Amino acid sequence: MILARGGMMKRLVLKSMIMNARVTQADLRYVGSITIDEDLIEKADLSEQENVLVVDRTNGNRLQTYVIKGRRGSGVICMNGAAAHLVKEGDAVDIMTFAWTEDRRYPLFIRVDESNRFSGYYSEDELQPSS
Amino acid sequence: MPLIPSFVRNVIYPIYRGFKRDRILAILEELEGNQYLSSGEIEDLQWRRLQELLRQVSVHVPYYRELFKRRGINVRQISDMDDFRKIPYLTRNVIKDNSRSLITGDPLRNGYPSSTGGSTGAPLYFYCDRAAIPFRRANRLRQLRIAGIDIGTRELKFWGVDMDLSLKERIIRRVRSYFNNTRLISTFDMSDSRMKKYAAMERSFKPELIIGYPSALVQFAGYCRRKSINLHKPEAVVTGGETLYPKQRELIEEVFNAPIYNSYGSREFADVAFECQEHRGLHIASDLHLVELINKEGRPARPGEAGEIVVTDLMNMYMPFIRYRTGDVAVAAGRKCECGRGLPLLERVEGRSFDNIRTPDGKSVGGFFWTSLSRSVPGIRRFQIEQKALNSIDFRIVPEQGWKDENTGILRKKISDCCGANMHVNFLIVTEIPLTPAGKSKFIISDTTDRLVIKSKVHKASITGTEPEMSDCLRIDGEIMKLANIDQYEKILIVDATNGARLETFAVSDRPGSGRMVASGAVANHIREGDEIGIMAFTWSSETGGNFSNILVDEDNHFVRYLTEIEGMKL
Repeated sequence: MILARGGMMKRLVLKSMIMNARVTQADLRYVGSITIDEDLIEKADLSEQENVLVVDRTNGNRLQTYVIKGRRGSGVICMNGAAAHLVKEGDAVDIMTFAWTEDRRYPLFIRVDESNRFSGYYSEDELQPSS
Repeated sequence: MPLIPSFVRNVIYPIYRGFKRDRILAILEELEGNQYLSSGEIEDLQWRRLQELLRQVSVHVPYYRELFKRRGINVRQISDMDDFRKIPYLTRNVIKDNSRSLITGDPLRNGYPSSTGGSTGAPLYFYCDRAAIPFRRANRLRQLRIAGIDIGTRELKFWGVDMDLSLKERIIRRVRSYFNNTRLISTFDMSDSRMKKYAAMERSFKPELIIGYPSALVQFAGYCRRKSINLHKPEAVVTGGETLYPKQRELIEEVFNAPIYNSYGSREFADVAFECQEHRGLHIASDLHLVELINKEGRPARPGEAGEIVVTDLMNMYMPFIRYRTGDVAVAAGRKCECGRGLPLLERVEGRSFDNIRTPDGKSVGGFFWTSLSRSVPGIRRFQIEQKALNSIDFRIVPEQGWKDENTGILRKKISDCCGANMHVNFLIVTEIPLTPAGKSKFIISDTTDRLVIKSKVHKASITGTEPEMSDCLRIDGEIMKLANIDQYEKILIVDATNGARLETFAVSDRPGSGRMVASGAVANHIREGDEIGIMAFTWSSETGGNFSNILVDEDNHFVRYLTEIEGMKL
């Protein structure tokens, strides 16, 4: 019954991932980092100021930044400032965050609809390739 | 052999106090007077003490002297709570980073070191003001006298004693306890054989007052009920140190057959709030503390609303605690107490904000669910829930007679009904559940996994030159590094707003005030003279959502102001 843990080594492992979200705004003239709808922040167990890795599925760019709270339910995913060079409005992005831990992790894979509203968690099976 | 209470009260105690020359009794008289002042009069008193505190720290405490200067705060112009709230919160991390500069330079002040018990991870080390001791003691006496307990009464205390003390300190503590008519019981040993002795001691010592952590008293009460032991009936039971849940209150009051006076406090502040004979809410000792309740949106909580307890200690001038975030949550009352005391009320203290289990569905499941869950199947003597991630908990169980492994299926079903199917539960059968270093028991442990969070950000800096032949780094005006809390050789992320480049390197300090910002080594391949850049530095921390060192500089790389970034902000 006692769950076997993978030794005492700490690893950097995926904690959560918001999948295939749409960038709603990317404007150089505004202050930077990534603004995320507060509801998604909670669903992904993110917190304000937390470091995230953003990967742009549209153009392949990858960058790290940190989270700012956006209005709850607004569906906002906004990458202003210097990041706007790499990510454009309308791009599809995945947003990942990692934990430094020795415990087994069950990452949260967040599914969003076309307006970036939470529409459930993917189960790990759903993300496996069908054989 | 217990001493006669009136002998302690009228002979030993006054002689000892006179010997210590600490005016506790005079202060007690003052505090007892304060409690019946009108709420307006108490606020006036509180405000006078606050202004004195702010004036003192702005002169004598380097950390605040500098902070006020940087933020343009003039303490003489602080005239209401809105002004006061412009002072940034004090957090555990700020104290850890500034433990030296938070101490007063005033040679007339004396402090003594103290630390938290480490219920929430690593202990926090800090200093208390010696001049505040008599106020703290008197405040405790005021609270006990409300419960009908006077100096010298026989007291039985369940506490996490003796663990961090030297032999000499232990002996002093024992001797002092004897002359205070107090008997100590260590919560570190609550085995059945010890509890049998404690019960016998309770019956022969006949305490009028019982003090303890709720968890320890519940264990003891549970034992006495199981063994049908009739205890001596005390006048009052005072609880503190942990959240007191309604079920615990019922059991303790039933077994001791006496009313509970709950209290809220911490090592940093001693007693902050306490129950009166009405037992409806806790009175804040607002003549000694300024307590703010801050809701999730960062605004003062309205009556009936929960908020984090933020405390300003009006008496600690040695190492001031101003707007200190305790991590504890209480509900604001916004009503007057029937007892007639003007000291403001907290409806209830809900315990540490992390005494709840969060779920992927956005629920927060409190102690009540978990205690009733543990009673829903037979054979659980003690248990502990530890949140490992938003969607995963460890459920530790110390089994007793009647436990069956099949019970986990029932528990799993109930947890899934309440916390959602996305919650992973790992059951662990253990022989004991360790106490915190302070001897407290925690049956819910929140997720304390550190997060990688931004701690420093410089906005709109300009590259003043490049030196491609030098070592790879970014050379930064030392003044800017200090303001942004970036250390020599600290890893940084540079983001170039001119061309979109992002790269990691480390910081090297250049002459303070020079305004220099030099892309050095391979960095110069991507970042050119005249580029506008941002600089970020991250840290692993369990504290988030507070202020971090987020600064704006002008085109000459001189500090302009601190920023709080919000959605859709333009500079």
